[in-house]
Amino acid sequence: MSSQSDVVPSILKAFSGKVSELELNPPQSAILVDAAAIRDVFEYLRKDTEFKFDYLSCLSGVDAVEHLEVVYHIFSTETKCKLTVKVKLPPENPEIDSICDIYKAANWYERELSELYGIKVNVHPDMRLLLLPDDWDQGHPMRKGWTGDDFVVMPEK
Amino acid sequence: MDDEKYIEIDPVTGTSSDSGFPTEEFMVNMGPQHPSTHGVCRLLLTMDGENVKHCQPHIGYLHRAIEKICENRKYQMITPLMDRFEYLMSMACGWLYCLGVERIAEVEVPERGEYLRVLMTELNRIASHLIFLATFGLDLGAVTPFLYGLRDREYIVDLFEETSGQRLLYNYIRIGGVAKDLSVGFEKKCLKFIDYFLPIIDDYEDLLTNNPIFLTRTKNVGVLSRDLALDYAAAGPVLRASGIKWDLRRDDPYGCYDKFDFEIPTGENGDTWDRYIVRIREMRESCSIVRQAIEGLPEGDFKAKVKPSFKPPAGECYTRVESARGEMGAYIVSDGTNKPTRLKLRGASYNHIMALPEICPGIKIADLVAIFASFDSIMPEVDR
Repeated sequence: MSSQSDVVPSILKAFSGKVSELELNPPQSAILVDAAAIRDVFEYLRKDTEFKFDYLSCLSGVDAVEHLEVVYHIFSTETKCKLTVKVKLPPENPEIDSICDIYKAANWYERELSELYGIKVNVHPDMRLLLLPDDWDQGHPMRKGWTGDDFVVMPEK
Repeated sequence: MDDEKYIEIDPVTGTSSDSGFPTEEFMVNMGPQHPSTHGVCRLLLTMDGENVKHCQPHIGYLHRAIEKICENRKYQMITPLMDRFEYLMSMACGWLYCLGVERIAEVEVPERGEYLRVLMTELNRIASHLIFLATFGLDLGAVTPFLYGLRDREYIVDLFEETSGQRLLYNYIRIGGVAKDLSVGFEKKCLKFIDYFLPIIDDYEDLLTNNPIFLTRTKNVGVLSRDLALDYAAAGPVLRASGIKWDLRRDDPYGCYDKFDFEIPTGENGDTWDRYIVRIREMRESCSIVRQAIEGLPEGDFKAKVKPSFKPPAGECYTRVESARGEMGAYIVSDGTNKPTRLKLRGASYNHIMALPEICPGIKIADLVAIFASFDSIMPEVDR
């Protein structure tokens, strides 16, 4: 048991309806999770599965223009399994629950999400700006279509 | 006055014999411009005398928006930018990015290219660990390791200059392979360096490893427990010092690392001394990998053909490589055009500095310098 190919089926079984499988290129184990179920899913992944996902490697925001994505890459140092977890959010008033009490590493990544993408992170202990200056008032720079004082889009030749 | 009380301070714990002795909390800004923060990092410390009660890291002083710039560049134009992500181990950054793009676009790298990547990255790892050794000694007040470390790093930098033309930001690893083949006589010079360098590591150890002053400053200082290390996704030598045998070169092999034979040194307690000794042992392992790479170096092409108008298909992947500081990751999203939609970079130093407030309470401010140095954090990797 606990081989890479069993990861997605076992999660689908535990969370029917809230989680669906994602087909990505290149092939990898990936799931799409309802924004409302994100905490339940991560608590299950961290504590309950035999796969022991103990390592949150990366948490990224992606602006896909028609929607926003939050992508979690988690791994296990024991079983060496990998999993990509995706959440899709609307571009207006996006909100997501914090998971930084489940994986402490999520703390700063979520602060980045909030300042660079304008995704509101619920129940986060410390929501100050992280990378941007304290007096920043030019919006969320990682959104597509953002324009700032010094930002120039490279012309196509 | 004969009723004046003599207050004894315990030299180890720093507590006074008179617990009622009043002290006043005060704040200290360590940084942003501070020699021992290795870049521009501000630690806002709440102090009780000389003891740190609370530490709050402030980052972002070196934020150059590399991720945003990358979304605005063609794929081949990004490789020189990647070197700026983490300048002490540029080879690993370039490899990380190219690995991701090659996985999405299914580019096959020739075997000689893979071997050259391993060879250069391991030399770069030794160079980076030498900078660690140099600055770690300096931060603890030992100047000799600084001179020795930089002296020996110079030999490696010369080898890089000969190969790539650069001494710090090499832009050597490209999509599909490497930029240039080895220069004439490189193998001989490199083996000569390894033969010279292995006994030198023993000299470093004579200087520091069992030095009583060094031991007092590092043993049981800044213990990062196994659970905390995992929870904060610490990586590389920091994670291994906490007793977790985890190395991406073995556990999630990329390139041709599965053909190499090497040990993964680990520590026991996760203290500052363990983080030091893990890196020293890693230098020996890297020497062994460099030797294996030169001895097994296959003939043939060093770079696959990649069109100037390179467009990978739509796709996404998260790749990670083991840099000198630990897991370095890149999440690349391609939408089929000649520029990436998203390029998220993840550096291990980011997580190590995030974990700093957990180990700070109760330590002396001088020990904070030692702990920070033992993480070997590098700020461009944190701020991106």
